Amino acid sequence: MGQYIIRRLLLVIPVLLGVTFLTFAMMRLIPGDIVTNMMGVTAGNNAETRVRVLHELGLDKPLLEQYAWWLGRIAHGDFGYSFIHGGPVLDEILRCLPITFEMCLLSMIIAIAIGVPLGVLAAVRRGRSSDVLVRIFALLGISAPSFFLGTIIVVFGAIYFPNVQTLGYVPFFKDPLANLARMFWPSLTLGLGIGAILLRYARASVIETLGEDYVRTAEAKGLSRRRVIFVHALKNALIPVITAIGVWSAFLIGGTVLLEEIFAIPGLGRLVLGAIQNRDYPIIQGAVLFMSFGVAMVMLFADLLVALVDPRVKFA
Amino acid sequence: MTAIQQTGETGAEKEIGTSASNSGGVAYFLRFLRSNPATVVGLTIVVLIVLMAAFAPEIAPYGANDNTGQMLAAPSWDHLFGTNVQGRDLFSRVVLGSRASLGVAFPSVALALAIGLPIGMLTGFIGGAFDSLFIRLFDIIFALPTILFAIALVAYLGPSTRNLVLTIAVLYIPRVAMVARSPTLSVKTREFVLASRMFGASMPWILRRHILPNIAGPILIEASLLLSTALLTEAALSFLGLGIQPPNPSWGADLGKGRDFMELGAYQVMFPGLMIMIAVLGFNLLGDGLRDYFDPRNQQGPKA
Repeated sequence: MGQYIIRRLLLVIPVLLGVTFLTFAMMRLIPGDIVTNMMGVTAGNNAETRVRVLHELGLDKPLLEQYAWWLGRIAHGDFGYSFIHGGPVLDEILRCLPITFEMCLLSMIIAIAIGVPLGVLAAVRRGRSSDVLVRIFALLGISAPSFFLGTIIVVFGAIYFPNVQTLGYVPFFKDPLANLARMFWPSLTLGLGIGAILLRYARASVIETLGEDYVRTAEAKGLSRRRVIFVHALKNALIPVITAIGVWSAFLIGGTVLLEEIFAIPGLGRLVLGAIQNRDYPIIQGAVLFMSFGVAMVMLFADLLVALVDPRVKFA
Repeated sequence: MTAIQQTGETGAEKEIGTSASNSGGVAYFLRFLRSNPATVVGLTIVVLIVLMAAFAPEIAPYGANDNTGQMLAAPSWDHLFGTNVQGRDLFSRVVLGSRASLGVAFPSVALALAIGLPIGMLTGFIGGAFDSLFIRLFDIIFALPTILFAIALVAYLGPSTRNLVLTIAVLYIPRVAMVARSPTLSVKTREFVLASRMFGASMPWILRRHILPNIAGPILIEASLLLSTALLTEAALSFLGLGIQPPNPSWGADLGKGRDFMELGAYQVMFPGLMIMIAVLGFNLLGDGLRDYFDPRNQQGPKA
């Protein structure tokens, strides 16, 4: 297993290099001239300013050298400066990061709390009416766009429950309860979609496990069905669900962008959308980098967790 | 995207379709549909939406940007879905908006298929370092939060239908390639492929005549699911104002704009939102149905 963990850790390196390179290369897709974009036409056409700005951004060097230089700066925590207010990008990101992190965490907890029990229930009662109901719920959950669900919650909340505040953000350390009350709605919206996906994985996996020889042996031994399911089958059946959580984390982290916009939560997603409106490219770049990094880390963590609980992995 | 590219891609799609139905037969498919009502619902939704897009100008009672003189009217017989703040008929906009959604979803999935399919088959067939190189590359794209990257890419490139299609296609190429790759790996060791190679058949010929028909099932399933996510991505970007630009009708953009007037009535957001959900549901049901149809463990399916 030690070997597997080392191999898996090494695999993160090319992924992170690739993600950083793509984020870096995106800057070059900006239509038009970067200096005029940054400084406006008058200053951008000034030859002296041009040379200075290009040098400051490292744009006067060959592409790969620029990338290495940029990577080195990032390793030192220097993510550049906002085009708009000139402050360090890292400060902005660190201000928004905990908010988005909280939302991801809450959504994932809600998704697991919805998906796993319902998935197990549907599998155990396969073909019965409760299974059909759960599967219809899963299908609707997968098909309902999070931005539509979120909008409905905001709209109906505003029309029918004017006392319930669904919009806005309260810092956790100022008022933890109010913070959770506000974060609940966007997290529920996001968690429902991911929960529906996890539900399908859990159901399929439990059904497959219940058909395995060792489960039949346990049943033949005369163990109660409850004991067979909860002690013998579930441990194995939930391993693919952990992998699924890792794989779908990209979807979850990306989804926060839409929900932060709908529920007016000042996280990384709103930061990106605001930066897009202002053409504040260094902020977009930094935020995309952090979120992609987050996805790579969750995927790594899920794989390591699977290796830890599943002894079969070391043979793979 | 140019017209020539587009026709080329739909041509490729048709080829997959015919080779797939050959393996099961029409009678088989009809019998399968009879015992799978969910698939019938999915297929019906997809067909209806495609028809709606095809005949949108005939169905819509008003033009997308006609001012009907009534602003923010509630749903009535004159305006089934009500009117928006500019007095535009929301029913007509929803009908015409299907063109925007399908106009992004179909070309982007077709483009992803046109590029991803050959890559997947080649990597599976050739194997070795070539294969590992592409797998590493795809691992990188899989680690990207899709919607965020689409947002960022469109922000850099500028919002337009062409850029939406390109962005979504790039993000889906690895998924298509991976789906094409794994069945290729198992099919390439079968006797009939070895025999063809022995007779000196060229690789493109083997890929087209032997591998493609055998991987058509998984590819069709993936195409259907990708269509649903492509539709969703377009709607999400348009919702944020980064996709189809108003005043052009689009479900996502109309849903986003409707939020500003939601206190006046839920109908401002309900109808475009429901349309997105129904369309996504249709493609999901169809994809699930195709999965059951092609599942070799499913005895009702064709013997693959």
